This record gives sequence, C-alpha cells and structure tokens, in this order.
Amino acid sequence: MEKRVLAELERIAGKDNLKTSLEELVCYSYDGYLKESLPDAVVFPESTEQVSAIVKLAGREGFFITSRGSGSNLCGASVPKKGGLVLAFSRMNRTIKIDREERFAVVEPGKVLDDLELELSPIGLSYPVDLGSSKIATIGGSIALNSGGMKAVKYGVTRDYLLGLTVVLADGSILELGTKTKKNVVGYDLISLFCGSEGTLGIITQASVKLVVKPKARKVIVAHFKSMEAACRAVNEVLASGLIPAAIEIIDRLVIGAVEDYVKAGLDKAAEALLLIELDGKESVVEEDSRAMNALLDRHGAYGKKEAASAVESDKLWLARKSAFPSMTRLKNICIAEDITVPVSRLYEVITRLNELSAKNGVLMGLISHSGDGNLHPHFLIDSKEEEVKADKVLDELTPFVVSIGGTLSGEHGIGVSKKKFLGYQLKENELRIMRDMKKLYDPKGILNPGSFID
Amino acid sequence: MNQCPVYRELKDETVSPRAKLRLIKAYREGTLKNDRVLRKVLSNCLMCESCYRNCPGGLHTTDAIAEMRAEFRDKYGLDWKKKLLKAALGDKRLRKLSAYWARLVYNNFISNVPMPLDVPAGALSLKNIPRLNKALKSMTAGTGRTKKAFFFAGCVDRFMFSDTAEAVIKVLNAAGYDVEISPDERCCGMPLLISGDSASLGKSARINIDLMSAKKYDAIVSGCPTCIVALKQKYAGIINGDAEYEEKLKKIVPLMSDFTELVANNIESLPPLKEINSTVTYHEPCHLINSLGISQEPRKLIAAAPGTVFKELPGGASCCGSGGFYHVYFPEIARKIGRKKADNIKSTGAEITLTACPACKLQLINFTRSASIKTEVKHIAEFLSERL
Repeated sequence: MEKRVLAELERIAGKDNLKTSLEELVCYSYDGYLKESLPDAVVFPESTEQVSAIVKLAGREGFFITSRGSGSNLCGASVPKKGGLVLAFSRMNRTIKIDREERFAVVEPGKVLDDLELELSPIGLSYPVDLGSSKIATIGGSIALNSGGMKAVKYGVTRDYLLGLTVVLADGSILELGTKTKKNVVGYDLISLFCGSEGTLGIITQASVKLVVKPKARKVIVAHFKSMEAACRAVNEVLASGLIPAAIEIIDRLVIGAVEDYVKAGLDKAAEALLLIELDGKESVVEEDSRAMNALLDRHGAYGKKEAASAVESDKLWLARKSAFPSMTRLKNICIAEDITVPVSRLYEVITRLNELSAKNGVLMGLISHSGDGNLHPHFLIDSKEEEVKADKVLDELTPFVVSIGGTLSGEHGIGVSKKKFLGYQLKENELRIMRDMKKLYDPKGILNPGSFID
Repeated sequence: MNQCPVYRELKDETVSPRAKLRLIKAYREGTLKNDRVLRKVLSNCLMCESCYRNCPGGLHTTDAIAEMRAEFRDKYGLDWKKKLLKAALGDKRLRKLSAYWARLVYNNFISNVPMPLDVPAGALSLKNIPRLNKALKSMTAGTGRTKKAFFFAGCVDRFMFSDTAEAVIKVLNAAGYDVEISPDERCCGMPLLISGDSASLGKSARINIDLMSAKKYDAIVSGCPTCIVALKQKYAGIINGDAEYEEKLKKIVPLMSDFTELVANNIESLPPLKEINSTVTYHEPCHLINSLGISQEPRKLIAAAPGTVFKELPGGASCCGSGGFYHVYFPEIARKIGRKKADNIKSTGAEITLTACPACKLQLINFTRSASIKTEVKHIAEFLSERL
C-alpha cells in the first residue's frame, strides 16, 4: 500500500488505529481456520463515518477490505485472502442503547457476545444466541456469518433476532435498515441478505437486536449412553414429545475424554455418547419438564445422570461443552471443525457414515452435535497436510449424501474458503448465478472480502 | 483472548495470547525481519496466566513468553531496571539492605513531605503508597503444637508489609501450627524468572529447597501466591537434571500450599471468629486462581466470620494491573486496569476489600486511595487475625 494511502488512512482513523508493521500484520493474517494471508494494513475504525470514508478511499485507490471481529470464525471469512486492508472492529464495541420497554439493544459490531450478556443479565434480559465461542465472538462477526449455536433448537439463530442494521456499502454510502417491530414485510428482506453474507456485500457498522426476558429458572442435565444410537433415539423422542429444551447437545467418546481432561466435571470417559440438556423457563415448568425428561432418558438407557445443583455447576457443565473444540488440540495440533447439518431423524445414520468414512480414510474424528437442530460438528484432528487431504476426502464422499437427504454442508460456520470447494454439491448453477449477479450489483469492483465463497 | 486483561484494554490482537504464540512461531521460522517489535510485544504481558486458566487446549502461553524473554536476555542482557532488581533480589544481604533503605527513605522523607504533586512510581503514585512496616523480626512462633509449618514469608511481606506476615503467623498458630521462618530465605525467584532470567536462579532455588527440607514440616506455606507458584511449579524447571535436588523437591512439593488453602483446610481448628458487621468484597490474585486454581478457599475463610455481608466483585477474576513489574514498564495500561478495578470495588460498596497477595494489596490500596474510595484494603490473613 502506498505511503500516500496509508497517510490518508491515518488521517481518517487516527495514528493509534493504524497498524502497518510486519509483526502486527502477522497477527491479523489468520482466524479460527487454517488459512493465513498477510494484509497490507490494519485499521481499527471507531464510527460508521470512518468506515464510510475508508471504503470510499478503497474504491478510489483500488485496495481490498476484509472485515474482522475477533477472528474466531472457522471458515477463513476474516482472513485477508488477497491482502489489502483489514478493518478490525474490536474497538468499535459500544452499547448505544438498551431499550427495556421494547426489549432490544443497539450495539456496535465489535461488541463481544458475553460482554453484552453481562450488561443484560442484571436487568433480566438476554440475547439468547449462545455460541460456543461467546467469550470472544462479536455481534458483527456473528451477523456476518448468521451464527446459530447451542440454543438454536429453542431460540433460533442470529437472523431471527435482527431488527435493524446499519451497513456501509461498497461505494461508501450508508444504508439504514429495519424497524422496531417484530413484523415487517415492506420490500425485499435486505437485513436477512446481509446476515450471513460473510462481509461480501457490505460492512455492518451497527445492529439492533431483539432481546428476550431472561428465563427465571434453568436446569442442566447430563446423561451418559452406552451407544450413540440410543442417544440419537433419545433426542428424537425428546423433540417428538413436545418438550423444547433450550439446548440438547451430543458429545462422542473421543470428545468426552478431551474435555474431561480440561474441565474435570466428572464425565464418564468410557461412555459412547453424552447428552447435555438445558431446560429453562418458569420454575414450575422447568421442574415438570425435568421429570418428563429424566423418565424419557431412562427409557433410552441413560446412565450416570447428573443434574447441576447450582449455577456454578451448570456453568461448569456448559464449560465442558464450550471447551470441546479447543480441548481437542490436546490430542493433535490442528483441529478442523466441520458443520454439516441434517434432518434430526437422520442423525444416527449420518453419524454412522461419518465414523465409517473417517475410519476408511484413516483420519481421527471427534463429534459434537447441536442435535436438536441436526447440526453436526465432526472435528478432524490432524497434524499434516496429508491428513488434511484425508479429512477433505471424508467430506467429499459424505456431502453428496447429506445434500440428497435434504441436509446442508454448513449449518452455521459459513463457507469462506474452507468449504468453497464443496459449494457445487449443494448450490445449483442457476442459484450460483443469481448470487454472483447480486455480488456484482452490491460490489461492482469486488473490493469487499475478495477470495471468499463468491467472486 | 478476551480473557487477557491487556487485550481487554487495548483491543488489539497483537497483544493477545494467541498472537504472541503466533509471533513466537514466526520468529522461530525466521519470517520476522528483526525482533524489535516482538520484544516489546512479549514484554507487554502481566504474566497473570489468565490465558492458561481459560485455555481448553492447556497451552502454557506464559511459559513460552518467559522462554523467549530468556533468549532475549541472553542476547541483549537486562535493562537497568531489571539489573537493579536482580542485584537487590539476588543476594540475601542486598535484599535486606535495599528494603532497609527503601523503608528509611520512603517513611522518613517521602511519606512525611506534603506532596502537592502526584509523583508516579510505575503506575502507582508515591502519595498513595502506605508507610512501609519494619522487617519481620521473629523467626519462630509458638511451640508445643502438634504440627509445624515452614512459613515462606517472601520479600514484600517479610521486609515491607510485615503486618501481613505477623497476621499469617497468628492465624497459623490458631489453626494448630507452630511456625518457623528462615532468616536465610532467598527471593522465590519469580520476578527474575518472568523477566527471562532463570539462569541466575539455580543458586537461590537450591538454598530455598535446602531450607524447606532441613526439618520434617507438615506444611510449607506463604501469604504470597506468587512465591508458592515459584516453589511449587517453577523450581522443577530450574533444577532440571540435578538428581539430588529433584529428589528433595519431590518430597516437599506436596506440602506446599497457599495460606488461604492451608487455613481453609484446617478451618475447624480455628476458634470461633469475632463477629463483624461489614460489607466485604474479594479480589482474586491471578497466581492464586489462574496458576494454583484456588478460588473457593478464600471465600470459605471470609464466610467464616459471622456477620460478613459478602459482595462478589464485578468483572470476575481479572488482574489488578500490578503484574509484578509490569506497571513499571506499561504504567498507562496498568493504570487503566487499576482504575477499572477500583470502580468495580466502589460499585460493591464494600467497607473492606480483601485479597490474598501483597502486590495486589499494594495496587488496590493505591487505586482505591487515588479514587477516594472509602474501603479498607487488607490481606485475608489480617482480616482473620483481627477476628481471633
């Protein structure tokens, strides 16, 4: 990047908000995926106006822009794949407003989800999209990727909570979208389009999100199973019974071992599968649901059941689940988290295929699943390029089957660069064409997150 | 990443644990042109080990940082501040002498002179540092109890905050321990270790190991969690390969515990504590919770005093910003972290703020005073000894 351009960036954002040394650039060359690529500069914007001025400059000078929250996504969405500028939103993280009467919050994109929850919890409200990475994930990043998380089975995904967005378009103009109402059918749903677009259509600089009243009571139950099949059957019956748990997570044997080594929550490492279930709501309802849940789990052969007796214990059991992905680096250096999602009734069938294909290709795989919504996270543990190829082969063989039964190759992690190669399995040519045309319409010069899933 | 107090302040990935490890890798691979920025980045760490406690992968980021700092120390030597520190802490007599002078100069001149100006000392300001106490005199306390404890007093409690040390002794006595302190005790070595100067620690570590092995003790205890971390977790690396000392260390490590841990485990031996009707909050020292994993024990001790109204400190277990000598090198960041901590203390309305580490105590006193917050900052040992 030319000195002249850097000087202009410094003028817009301030000296302390521009980073150009090689060491600093290295720190913005990666995210939660494997790919790395150096940017030419990093800027920490602090307002929508600054972002707009920077994007206008990019249009004039022809440099690329890749937006970044905390860089915790798992598909390479925030890696500056073709260099250029990284817009790091970590310092643009204010809470503009919390409306208690209408139950919504207006926040800047760099707000970390757990930090938002800390502000909401004392006033009895909650933003219920609960990600495994909520300690670091930002609201901007989770909107760009339409993150789902643990509690989607009851509470839905990020898209379901968006009331409004402020977006800077590729020409630098500022788009203000949304209303304060739950219902709104005026025109095309642009908010939903930007949500999940992985920073390829515009840059989100402010979001207005719906909040829910924090449930009065919660109960966390852990149940061990001697077979994965029994665990999957239990999940299906839970959903068919009308019980709506806030979360119902499956963890397989390999993952149980890894997390127990970290959390020491007394999980049985010999179990083939474990269900972690959270019930929430009014105290009396939670009590009643928990009785029904326990009876149901017993019928399916659950053993070693634990019920968290306190909030501290509940948090510890949840920590076990939330630590699953990083815990696995205890087993091998690199962990690729995949994200196929299938109809819940087909869970066991797909898990069986996954295990068979992993064994056939000789790659170590541990499984976590947001089973209530059919979202599977096979974690491939690898320590060489050869093993990465093996993991790819598993997906190559599995994806067509997943798509054929009505599943998807990504439920919540996004495509980025990690799953670009599998895109053709799911999207038909006419779908892809519409998407490419939309990309051209929004970003004719191709300056926003180039090298991502759509060019 | 968001668990790192420095990252939370600067919001720049470069200072985060993840980036520090990535940069060390880049340096090892030879992709960095020089080590100028890397040295600065690696020095910008409180060594609070919050990253370790929060890392499901179990990565010892601070160990990797200390290792790199040691490499840079070999290459560039120590700067003058660290040289001074090494001279003062590395030698038994010099340590005593420096403390003596610090006390003499500080108590007689600085703290008595009205100070219109706020003179900074690292992130602290001189006018807010409490008067320094006399060095601990007594070297044994109590006889005839069934159990015997070796009290590793540590530099600060022994030479400057001897009131804390006296309180530790009194409470240990009450909990059924005769207490011994060695006049030959050396600095635990942590300040030098985290500065990357592990090489010069072999001698003092061996002296300390000998002292703690001289008799059969039932417990080895300190009121400073950082000292216990050094003795319990770091000495093995320092004497690595020396079979004789490895054998000695292996025997005494299981006896080592922080003051709060030892007393909480013997809480039934304490007499009933005097009632108190005060609101109390507790600041968790980093090395106590992050390195030693001790969090419930101090709360158990606080709850033992009848009438205590306990208020959790908002912001959870987060560093006070002292971080050994961090505040001398990065006073601006340390000040911001310290002020935030003081704000959190204020929000609890606590009349008494307890902690379990002398460095935290100093930092908390400084920042509550400068924000004019009316709260008494104490070590838990003092709180307990006053209620005996």
